[in-house]
Amino acid sequence: MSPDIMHELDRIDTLSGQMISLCMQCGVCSASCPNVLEMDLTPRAVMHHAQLGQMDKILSGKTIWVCSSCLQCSVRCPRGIDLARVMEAFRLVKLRKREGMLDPADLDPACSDAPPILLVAAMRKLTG
Amino acid sequence: MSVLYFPGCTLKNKAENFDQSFVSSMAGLGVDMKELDRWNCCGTVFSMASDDLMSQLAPIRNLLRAEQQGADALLAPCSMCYNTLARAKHFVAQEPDRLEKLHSFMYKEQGDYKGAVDVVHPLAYLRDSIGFDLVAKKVSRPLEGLKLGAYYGCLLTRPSIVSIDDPQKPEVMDKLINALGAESVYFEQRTECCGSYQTLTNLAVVANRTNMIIRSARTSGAQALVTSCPLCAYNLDQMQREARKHHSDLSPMPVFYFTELMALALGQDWKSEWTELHEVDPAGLLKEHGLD
Ligand code: SF4
Ligand code: SF4
Repeated sequence: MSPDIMHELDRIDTLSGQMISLCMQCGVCSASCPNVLEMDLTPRAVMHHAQLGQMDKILSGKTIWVCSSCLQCSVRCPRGIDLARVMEAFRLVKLRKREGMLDPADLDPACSDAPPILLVAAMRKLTG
Repeated sequence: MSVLYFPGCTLKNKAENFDQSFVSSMAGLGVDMKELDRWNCCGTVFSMASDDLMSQLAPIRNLLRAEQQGADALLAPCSMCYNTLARAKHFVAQEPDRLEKLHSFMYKEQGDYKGAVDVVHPLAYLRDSIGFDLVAKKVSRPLEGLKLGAYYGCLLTRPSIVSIDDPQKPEVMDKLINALGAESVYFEQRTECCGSYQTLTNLAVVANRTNMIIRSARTSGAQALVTSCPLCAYNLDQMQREARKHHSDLSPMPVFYFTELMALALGQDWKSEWTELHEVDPAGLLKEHGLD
């Protein structure tokens, strides 16, 4: 693996506090994920691309934004990987460059009907 | 034990029925409980980044205040508040220097946070400090005939370090439902996510989740769902209309806060303002069982 890729992987490991290399590609995470049908990469595929250093594929895809941080994958992973944290780390790589997927200016005014926890949660998770 | 109540933003806003029914039920059970003075946002979602101390400031500030106001336990009925506060408490307890850094930001607060106050979900409080036997004794209007699905969602049981019950097989809400005289119904989707904050950006996710959860509950015989999270309530109740756009045969199912049912069973009247905060009107179901 090239030093660049190692560096990228290290960054995700550090941000998430997890070791991506531990993943054995069993797919339990994908089978547990309630949102998998809306994702372009399954959670297992995210781990696979991460192991190969193909970060762009993950960062330009939908999956990290469709993840709802439900922790179902995290509690079931047989390798003890907290995959929800890995998803969060990838989101943060984008958010910290101000490349969020939700621009508050685009919100439908009808959303004022929504409970404050929905608005705050979505903005904290999806706005750069 | 001295207990304080942390309502959080949504219980003072779109979920006033949750706030009012919680406060009146606790009074009905004889719990001496006051609202935390000067509470602020809990942070809403727990930051899972290892370097993001800033996001822990809001929850820890609340815990510091609760401690200074003499609380042994801080009761947080909203699942999101409970989860964020409880995880923040664990996060700073893991490494002392995290707290040290946080203290340097909390320069307006007098004194340090000691980690002494417990973050407690009312369902756990009812089980451990009051006891469901006593709750059952105080019931003056048993919810007989109601079949209810306890919907735990994500935040009451995950991650396991803050779970209020067995993370795989939670039963605390079922036990409350039964203590109130109703019948709790097990259904498969009871701990699966409602779609959470995806409502704002990906309605298809939420429509699909709501459809699955309601269908699962109905197949098991539930007439209504019970929750402790205003975001779950919004997705499962208000977003039924979105789910129905994709699944036209999904018939309406009311969604209650567990505290609304508790208030009813303890003899308080259902308030018409509460109905306005429900999209699927529970009046018909309550009337059918003589509970209106
Ligand atoms: S469950 Fe864990 S080990 Fe299995 S594929 Fe997912 S992340 Fe990898
Ligand atoms: S935390 Fe994200 S990836 Fe994991 S199961 Fe939930 S939605 Fe899927």
